[in-house]
Amino acid sequence: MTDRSSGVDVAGQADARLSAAFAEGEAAALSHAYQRWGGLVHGLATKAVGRSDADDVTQQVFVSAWQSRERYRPDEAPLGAWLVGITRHRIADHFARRHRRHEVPADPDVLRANLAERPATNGLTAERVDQLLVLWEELERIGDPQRRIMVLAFFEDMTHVQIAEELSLPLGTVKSYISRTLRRMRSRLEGEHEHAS
Amino acid sequence: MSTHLDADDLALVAIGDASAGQREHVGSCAQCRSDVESLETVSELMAHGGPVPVRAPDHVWQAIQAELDEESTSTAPTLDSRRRHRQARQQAGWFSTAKLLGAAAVGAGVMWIAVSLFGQDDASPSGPVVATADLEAVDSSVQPASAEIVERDGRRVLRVDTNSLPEVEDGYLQVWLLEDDAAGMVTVGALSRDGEEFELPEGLSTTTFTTVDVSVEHYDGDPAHSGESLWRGSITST
Repeated sequence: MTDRSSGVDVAGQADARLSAAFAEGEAAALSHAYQRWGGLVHGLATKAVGRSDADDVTQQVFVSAWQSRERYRPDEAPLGAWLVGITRHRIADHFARRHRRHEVPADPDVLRANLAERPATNGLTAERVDQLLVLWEELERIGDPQRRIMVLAFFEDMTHVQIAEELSLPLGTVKSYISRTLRRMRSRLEGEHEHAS
Repeated sequence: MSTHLDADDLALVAIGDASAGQREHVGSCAQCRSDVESLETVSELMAHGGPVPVRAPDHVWQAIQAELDEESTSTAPTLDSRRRHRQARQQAGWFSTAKLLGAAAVGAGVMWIAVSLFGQDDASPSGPVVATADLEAVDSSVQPASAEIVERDGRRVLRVDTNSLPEVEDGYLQVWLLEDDAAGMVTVGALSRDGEEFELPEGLSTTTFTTVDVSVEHYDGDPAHSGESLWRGSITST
C-alpha cells in the first residue's frame, strides 16, 4: 500500500468510527460530524435554497440529526449519507413551506407540477435539486476512493491520468470506478438498486 | 455493424473519454446512444453538484449548540424526570465544555500542533526544496504569494514568502495545512514578518494535508479556523 491509498483507508476508518460514535451519542461526535460534513450540507443547502436560507437548513439538519441519533443505524448507511438524506428532507420541507406561504393549490399533483417547474437557485428546479441530493447521498454512501475520484473528475477537472497519479491507483481502476459510479447513480436516480458492481 | 460497447465504455463515452471508433459506433447505434444519453444526464447533474465548500460557517455551529443547549435544559420536568434531568445536565455540560474548548479543536480531524520554530534556524542554510505551493490570494486585499518546503537537517521546514503582510486589527495571521476536503486541518504557527518559517512535525504527511492556508485569526480564544482565509494553495512535490 502506498501512503496515499492508505491515507484514504485511514479517512474511511475515521468516518466509520465517527458514525459509530454518533450513533452511541458520544459527546464530541456532533462537533466532529459538523467539522466533517457541515461544509457539504451547507454547500448543498446553498445550492438548493440560496445563501440566506442555507444557514437555517444546515442548523435544522444537525439539530434534528442529533436529536434523532437513536434512529441512526451505522451498519445501514455511513453518517455522511444519512446527513445528506436529512438535508434532502429539510430542503423538501423548505420548498413545501415556501409554497404554503404563497398559498398555492393544496392538490398534490398541482403542487408537484409547480415544484418541478419552479426554479430554485442556480436555475435548478426543485426536482433537479432533489436529484442532486440523491446523487450526493449516494456518493457519501459509496465512500472513498470512489467519492474522491468523482470529486476530482467532476469538480476539479482532473484527467483520469492525473487522478490515477494523485491517488496512486492504476488508470484502469480509476476509469472503472468512474464508470461504475455513474451507472450506480443512474440506477439510483431511476429508483432501482443496482446490486452488481 | 460493430459490436455494442460494454458498460464501462458506455460510461466513458458519456463523459467524453472515448476513441473515434467508439464514438462512431454510438453515433450509428440507437441502443448504445440511448444508454450514453441517460449516463450523460447523470454526468451533467454531477457537474451542477459541485464543488461544495469545504467548511461550514462557525456561526451556524454556534446556533446549533445554542439550540441544543436550550432543548436540553428545558425538557427536564416530564416523565422519568430524574433520568432526563441527568441527561440534560450531561448534555449541557458537554456543550459548554465544547464551547470553551472551541468547536474545531475538539473536531475529529483537527490536531493542534503549534510548532513554529522560527528563530532556531536562523543560521542554517535553507536546504533543498522538496515541495512548493503557489498561494492564491483568496482575499482581494493581498497579492499572490508562495510557499516552499525545504529539507534541513532531516527536517521539513515550510517557508511562506509574501511580498507584504496586511495589517490585522485585533488579530494575527495563522498558517495551516489542510486536507483536500478540509476534513482535517493542522495549524503550524503564526505568520509574521519575523516568522515565516515553520518546522513540520515528522508524522505530518503532505500527501494527506495537501494545502497551505493562511487565515486571519482574532484574539477570541477560539482555536478554530476563522474561515477568513487570505491565501491558499496546493502543495506540489518537486
